[in-house]
Amino acid sequence: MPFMKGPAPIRRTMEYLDRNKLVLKERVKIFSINYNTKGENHEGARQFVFWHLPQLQFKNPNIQITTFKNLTPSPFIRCYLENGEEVLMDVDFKSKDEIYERVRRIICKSEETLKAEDKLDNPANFGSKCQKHCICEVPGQLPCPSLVPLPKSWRGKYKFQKPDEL
Amino acid sequence: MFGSSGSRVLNVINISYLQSRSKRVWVRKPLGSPMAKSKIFRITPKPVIPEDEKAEMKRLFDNYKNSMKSLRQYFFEQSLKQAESGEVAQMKHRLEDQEHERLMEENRLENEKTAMLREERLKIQAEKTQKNVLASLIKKEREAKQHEIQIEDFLTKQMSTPFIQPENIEKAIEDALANPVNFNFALDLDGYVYRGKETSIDMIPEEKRERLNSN
Repeated sequence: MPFMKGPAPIRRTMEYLDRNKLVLKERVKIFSINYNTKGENHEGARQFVFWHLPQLQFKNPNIQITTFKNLTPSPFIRCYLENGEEVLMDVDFKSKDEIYERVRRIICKSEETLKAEDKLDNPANFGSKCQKHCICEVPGQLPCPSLVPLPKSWRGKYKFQKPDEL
Repeated sequence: MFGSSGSRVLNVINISYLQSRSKRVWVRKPLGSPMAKSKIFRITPKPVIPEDEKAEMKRLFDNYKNSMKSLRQYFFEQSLKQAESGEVAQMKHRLEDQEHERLMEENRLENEKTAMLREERLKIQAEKTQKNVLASLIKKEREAKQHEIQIEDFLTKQMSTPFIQPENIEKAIEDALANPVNFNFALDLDGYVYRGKETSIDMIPEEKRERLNSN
């Protein structure tokens, strides 16, 4: 199988995109980053955009992420929140890892929130992205009503049927 | 012809819980089998509904679906609002806001730190550029001076060579006419001159040979 095209195509693999913790908080609506293509103090910002921006967009598909190039002498990140507030982060001369850590700390959901929201982990959640699709799969619970019909007194259509009113 | 496709309990929906252990249960026709001969040319009669009835039914259904959808959405929004207005939710909101403010404060401090570092760096850079500019100016001055000296030398050298001025022109012409330069001479490898067109080397004795003097 041939190599994937482009520089560092690992950035386009599902594993890479999935495995990061950059889930922005719900109040963030727009994430914009300003940087230059030349200049030593923009190196960190450039590397951050190159490596981590795809991950960010993958985890937040409903947030607008924009880049502005060669406009200002120093790089910065600006996030626009729901209530009109702006979060300005100066990343002049910072390395890519420092920027990543800062973004995670300030405007991303914390580990605990992510864990609490994670449907897969909690066995009390049922559905498509959870461990079990329905509670009828759990031994000791009622069997699926599609296999074994429920008693008529438990079914809504018989309980609320008022034959004298009809 | 088909045999029992798979086990006896596959693709089973809505059968009674008590299964017969002896009889083979026909669940469905195997997937790859052809259509029965009595059924291949069968055309099922399509139900014919008049157009106006169809339109009326569509209108009724559309109204119903619209109302149901809007109701459902309304109830969803109401439930969201209720969830938010509860005590636990309020506390959560307050905690989140506090956390947010703390993080904004932290961010502001970080920004200030970066700004200070940037100021220092820019100052150092400004000094460096100033020094560079001064050095280049000095160099330029020195080079200009050297250039001037060179020009002076050249001019003096040129002035020292004998030019013919407009006053001496007649004298120069008379001198030139009086002393014509004869280029008819030959040189020896040892540096002796033999003047004249018709002179042969053997006619001149060795002592009388002229030496070429550079003037």
